[in-house]
Amino acid sequence: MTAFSFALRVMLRDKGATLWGIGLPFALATLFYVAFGGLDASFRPSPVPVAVVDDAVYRASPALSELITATSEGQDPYLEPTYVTDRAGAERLVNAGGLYGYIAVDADGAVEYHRDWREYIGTPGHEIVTAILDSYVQGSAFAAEAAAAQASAAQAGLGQSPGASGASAGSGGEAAAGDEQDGGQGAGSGWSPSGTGDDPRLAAGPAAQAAALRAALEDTPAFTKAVQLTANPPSDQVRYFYAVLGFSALMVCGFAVSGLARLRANRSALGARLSTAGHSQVALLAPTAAAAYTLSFATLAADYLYIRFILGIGFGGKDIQILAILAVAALTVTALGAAICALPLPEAALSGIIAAISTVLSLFAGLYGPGSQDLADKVAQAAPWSTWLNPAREVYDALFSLYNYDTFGEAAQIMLRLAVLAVALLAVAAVGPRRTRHEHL
Amino acid sequence: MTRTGGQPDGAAATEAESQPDGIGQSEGSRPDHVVDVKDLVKRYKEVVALDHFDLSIDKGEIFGLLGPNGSGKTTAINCILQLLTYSRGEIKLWGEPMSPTRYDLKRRIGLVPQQVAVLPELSVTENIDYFCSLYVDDKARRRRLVGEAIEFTGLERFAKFRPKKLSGGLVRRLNIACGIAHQPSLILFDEPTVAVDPQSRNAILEGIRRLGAEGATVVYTSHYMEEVEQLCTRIMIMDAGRAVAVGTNAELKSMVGIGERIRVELDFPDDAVLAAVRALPHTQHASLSGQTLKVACAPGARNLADVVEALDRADVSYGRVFSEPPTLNDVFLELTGAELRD
Repeated sequence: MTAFSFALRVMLRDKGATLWGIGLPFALATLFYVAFGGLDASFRPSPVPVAVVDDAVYRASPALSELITATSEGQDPYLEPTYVTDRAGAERLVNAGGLYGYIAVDADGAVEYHRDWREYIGTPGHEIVTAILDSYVQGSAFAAEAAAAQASAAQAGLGQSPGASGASAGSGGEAAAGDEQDGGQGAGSGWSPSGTGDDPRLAAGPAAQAAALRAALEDTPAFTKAVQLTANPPSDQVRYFYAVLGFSALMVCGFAVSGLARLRANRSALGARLSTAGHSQVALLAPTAAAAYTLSFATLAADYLYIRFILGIGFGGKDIQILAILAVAALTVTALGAAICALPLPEAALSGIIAAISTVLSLFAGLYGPGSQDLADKVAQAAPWSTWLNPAREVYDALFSLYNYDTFGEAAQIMLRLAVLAVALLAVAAVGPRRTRHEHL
Repeated sequence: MTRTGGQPDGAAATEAESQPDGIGQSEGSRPDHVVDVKDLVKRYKEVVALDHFDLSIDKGEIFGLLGPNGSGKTTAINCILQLLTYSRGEIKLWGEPMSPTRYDLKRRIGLVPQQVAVLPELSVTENIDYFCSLYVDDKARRRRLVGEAIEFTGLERFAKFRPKKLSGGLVRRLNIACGIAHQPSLILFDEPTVAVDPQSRNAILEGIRRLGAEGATVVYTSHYMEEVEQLCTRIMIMDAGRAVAVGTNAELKSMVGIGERIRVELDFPDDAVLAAVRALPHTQHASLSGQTLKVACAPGARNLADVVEALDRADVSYGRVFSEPPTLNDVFLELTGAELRD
């Protein structure tokens, strides 16, 4: 315990190892936060301020009003409507500036978008409003056609069996709704051909049936339902921070190098002196390696907590699993540091090797931006085994899988591979001490 | 060739191998021998660093290994400590064969290496405690030993300083404290006063003397003959990996024919003076160097008086007169033909 305590103190006070192992990942994460913090937000449009003429005609189009309401609410609204009672009021507002235009419904029920041509040229605001209104017009027209077709079919099928009529009309209803999740039930919520016998509007003829179906479809505000395929919403910026943690995992192996290299008799007078002590090499190395591991894991955990809680980067909320991954990664990089120490090189050269390894391997974890990420992905696809030898990429992949997948299986496989790599590196490190006498420098 | 002390003249020179009972010889382990090295050969590729080297050191000795740089002093120490392999020979400590895994023997040894070997990240107290912890597990005992080591080396005022805040001399003292804190029976000092100011050097030498007085066996390597002369109870002169001579300071000096060197500052040097001095019975060599007359004398009780009387008889005016006993450099010069300071 004494040796462990001393080793921990020495490593913590080693300015080089501390700067590179703790300071740099923190600085890099902060830098990425400043540089890419708004990356996800940049892919979301700002709500477009428009005026909406909320008159009687508008109120007679409930589907439109619900569409505008739906697109102006929620986490990422597209519209920022300002309701006015008449067109004159809307034009005054638009002329006053600050609005892209105004939306109104004419006497025939057609939607109008009066855009302000003086401003906002080159911004996507007008296109967003137009796209929303286009989708309404197209959906409304489609619903009208579908309703007319269904009404004709229902009229032609009067006197036939209700089951055959229901099957045909039902499929049309599904197509009109376009809602896979609802299986057509949404489209039939206001009107159902299977219930023709109960609906008095059917008896009034095809026109009434079409009107009924149209009204039913118009009452359904959302024709498409978003489906979440991953455990968490896709995010471009998380890649950078996961890569930072991968990079950090490599940099912290400096602790192991700092602690273990000086114990070798062939590397320094201090190493020679220590090897004359009344303890075996293992008794000297083991507590130092344990201290290096402890410090490596603590650093990675601190990096993670900083990125997660201070910078607010999403990790999918799986703290325990992530800490487990970092614990195994710390073991691997401690073993990597021990293996590096086995190289017959001066201590200063070992620091250079760590920097080189960290820099190069982080490239294949996608640390350096989109180009690096593309390259990393291509290499991972072409040679998956190469990622198994890259702790930075393994950490990145494990975190990415935890963020996107519901299950822990993929991350567990990565942890296993990291553990195997640690054992292999420790075996390499164990070969080194056989030639650590002074004369082998 | 190894000359041994206790014999008054050069005729005592013998082959080491032919003197099984001589000083500095290993003839198998004796109970009072702390270090026994026999027939040690160490090569660095083509260079022979230790050439059939023998060494015996008794308990309580302050044993000096004296020789120029590259003579094999540090190599001998490193072989004893098993830091180096060797191609031939036997090393025993306290009668037990030494090996890299003899941790029981290593626990009784303290090393003060030539290069400062401390942890720059730890304070003076922490450094001493750390090195002491490699030998002593008991925390309370260690605390006492660390305190004693700090006091012994005079580092009380600097106990919380880190090495980079200390002067060169103080760092050397710390280097020593780290090697002696666990109170070893055998302490190896490898040139501990290199690049040390005179004050620190005196403190270090005094400390080593105290360690010897307290019963520790000390091996002291240096190329400073004055230190070795002052400090060591027995001295081995080394050259080219071999022991050239072994004995006490007096014994070594008695091996050479020089009794003393006399220098006289003449007011008016001339050849008549030189002739008068050369005529003296114990004069081995006399010369003039500028206004200084230099006379090398054979051992004798009245050399200085004879020279002064000769000058007076010749009615020569002179100023200061110096008489210097032979130095270990003279011994080395006579035995090897080279200056020890080279």
